[in-house]
Amino acid sequence: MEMIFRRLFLGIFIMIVASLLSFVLLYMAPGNPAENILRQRTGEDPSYEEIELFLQQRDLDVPLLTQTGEWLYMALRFDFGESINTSEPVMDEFFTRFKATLQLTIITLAFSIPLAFFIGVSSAAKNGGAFDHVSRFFTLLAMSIPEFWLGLMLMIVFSKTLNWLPSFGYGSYLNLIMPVATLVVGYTATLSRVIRSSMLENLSQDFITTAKGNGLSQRVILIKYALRNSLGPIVTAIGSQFGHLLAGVVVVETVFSWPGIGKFLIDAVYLRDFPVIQGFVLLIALMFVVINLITDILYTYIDPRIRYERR
Amino acid sequence: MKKGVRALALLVIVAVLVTGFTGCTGAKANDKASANTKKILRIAAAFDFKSAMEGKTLVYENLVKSDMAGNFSGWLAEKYDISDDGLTYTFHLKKGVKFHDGSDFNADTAKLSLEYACNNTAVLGKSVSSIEVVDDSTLKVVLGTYLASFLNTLSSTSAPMICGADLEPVGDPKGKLTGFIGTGAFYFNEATYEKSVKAELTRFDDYWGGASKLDGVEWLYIADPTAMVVALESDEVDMIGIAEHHSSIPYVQIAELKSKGYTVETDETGRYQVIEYNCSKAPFDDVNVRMALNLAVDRELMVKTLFEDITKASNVITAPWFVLGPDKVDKNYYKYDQNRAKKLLDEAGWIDSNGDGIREKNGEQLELKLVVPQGEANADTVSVYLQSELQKIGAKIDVLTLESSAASDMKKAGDYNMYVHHSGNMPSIPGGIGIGDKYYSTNKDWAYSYHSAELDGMIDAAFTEPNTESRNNKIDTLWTYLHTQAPCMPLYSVLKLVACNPRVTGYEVGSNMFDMSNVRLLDMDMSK
Repeated sequence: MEMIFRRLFLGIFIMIVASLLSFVLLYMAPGNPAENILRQRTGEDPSYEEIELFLQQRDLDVPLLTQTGEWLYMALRFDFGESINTSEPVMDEFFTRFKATLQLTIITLAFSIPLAFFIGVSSAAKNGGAFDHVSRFFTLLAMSIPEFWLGLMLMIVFSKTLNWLPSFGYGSYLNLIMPVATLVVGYTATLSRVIRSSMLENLSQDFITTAKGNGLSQRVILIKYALRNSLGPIVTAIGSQFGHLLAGVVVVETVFSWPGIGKFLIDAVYLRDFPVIQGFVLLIALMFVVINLITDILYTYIDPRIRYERR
Repeated sequence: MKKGVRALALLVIVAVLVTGFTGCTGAKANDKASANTKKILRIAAAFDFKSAMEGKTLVYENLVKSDMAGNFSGWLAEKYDISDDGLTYTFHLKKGVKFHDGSDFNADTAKLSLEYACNNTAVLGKSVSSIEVVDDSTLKVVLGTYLASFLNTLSSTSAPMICGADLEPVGDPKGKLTGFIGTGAFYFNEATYEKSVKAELTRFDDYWGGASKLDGVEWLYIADPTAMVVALESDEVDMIGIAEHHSSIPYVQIAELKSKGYTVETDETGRYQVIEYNCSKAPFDDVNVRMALNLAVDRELMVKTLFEDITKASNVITAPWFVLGPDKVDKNYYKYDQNRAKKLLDEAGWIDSNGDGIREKNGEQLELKLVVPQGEANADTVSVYLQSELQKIGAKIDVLTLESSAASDMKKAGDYNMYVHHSGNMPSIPGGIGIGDKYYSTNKDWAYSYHSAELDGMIDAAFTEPNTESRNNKIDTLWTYLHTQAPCMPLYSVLKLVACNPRVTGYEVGSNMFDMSNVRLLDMDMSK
């Protein structure tokens, strides 16, 4: 319990630092929100008077320190202000899109985790065999395929040629198939290789030789001994994938026009929409903190030898 | 215990999945069904409806309207009078115009709209001195100083006609525009709007110009240009390209779409892609070098090889057919002539003395930094073409593609020799020649473009002249002078590309590259 509180306290610190750092770095980077947003809105280069008026109306002409202080004060009350571009509350912008991101994340992992376990464990069990060679070749291939290329290929085949699936949009089960398939390919490949290498490392340990000597079946040795002992790095990899998916998958969101948080955040970065960037970074950092905490708690279930007491 | 944990985990996953899918339906089938019975035009758009200025032209209208060339006419103002000194505008408003909420458009709402515009548009706020309701259908606006671009600003999305209920707080011209309640041919349905997914607009039956033949418009967000083409070809949308002012359709797709029976409209809107020179430092502080480069590029060949001749090469700085465009300038002024270009460089002292193919002067090579802001239409391929053309006259081009903000900062700091840009698309003051515009010396954005006291004087004289004929003469002189100074290299005309399936009929390009209001004139043949 003490560990959980310690981690949470540290997590809050990390979230605020990450958010402030992203703001300060972007504040110092070229460009300002008024210029970018007005150019997008009008299609013309805005005049200096237009830029000044825009900044003035949104209190963006105050010094960096004042802006930072105001943001911190509001953030402590979980109010991240309004998007400069859309004039909507940042929290609304985040949670409207987070639902779509969460769907994509959970369904992608629901397919990729079992698939990766099957491929990784089977490959390790038949190390050097035909299945191992074939699976290693295909996982390497899958990891090398760029998501945008795969997404567009799927779209051309299943939407344009066969007309089976919608090429874009959100709201139907059919809309999920191609984005999920695009993500599952890469995530399954990465995870299955982690599982395979972790399994192989454990399969060469003395306790496996002992188990074999005791006449235990191959299935029991693989699942109860090798896999169980391999779960540490696998859980870490899954936690990391979970975090990355939740933080938004910009390429897939762009190709399939999926209304997740990734594309919106990237657009906000281009526009220098500071409240969105700060709010989103903080909330994404919060998700990483929670996922890491869950991963750490899971370690203690997987391997009871792991304890987090203060020494 | 372990089984219990597993069961709990499974339950959580199922619960999340179910919760996540509560909004999921067989939407695609429904959409197709409704599209078959109703004339709903499905438009692909690269931006969310509320963020795109183009979408606003479906909902809002203005007092006046400009055509593509920059001729103004009344719109919600049936007609208008301008005083001789150009300071007083009297607008005679149309009667019988209603807002989407059923309220009337009249001089009071027009006044409120202009007050809102003055609060949000610096140039109006600075220039407008008073707005007076003369009677229910007459509005008088007095300017403190003459503003040549006044009608142009009134015709833009900066000055929409709104009603009090559209503002928050209600009726406060300093408030926020929230409701999308305009007088346009379609009204926006907030209840069915989904952020970054879609917006639905329904035909406004009380539209003063007669209800549209379409039942409605569906604004469908598609972020990727290739995905837009796929969506058109898989019959998920009816029209692409109309909702973006910079064409979202790759030029290379046009021939293929046409061959498949899609209608592809390619319209010039007067926006030219140009290369701006940094005239404040060598080598472009020498007019001979600027002129040499302008003569060294075969634009006709560029348009033919890169764009399959779908657009036109630009031989002058901006569209000559704009009412204030350079129509008196010799079209062959920058005609491709590499021999002349080489001679001009020789005269400027740039000679290839060591035979490496690159010219030198005072020990410096003719090596030029070309900055390309990301997102500038076709700029990457054009840059490569320029590299090869300019190498033939002994100039080495280093192409630097940067995120648009970073590129813009380099431009402001003068850290460039050449910069890919586009001419302004403001037909009443085209090509950056207005007071405070690109070629005016006080412009901080383009501080390193061509400026001179002589040019400033010409611009001041032209754009403070309320007499039309006199102003036009002054602008002709201005254009002639500017072309002799070769401040930029005009390249080609940027097109507005719109593709639609054969079901859609009656397309007419809007009054500028942002204007979608002509969607109201479309019809759909649902049997196709």
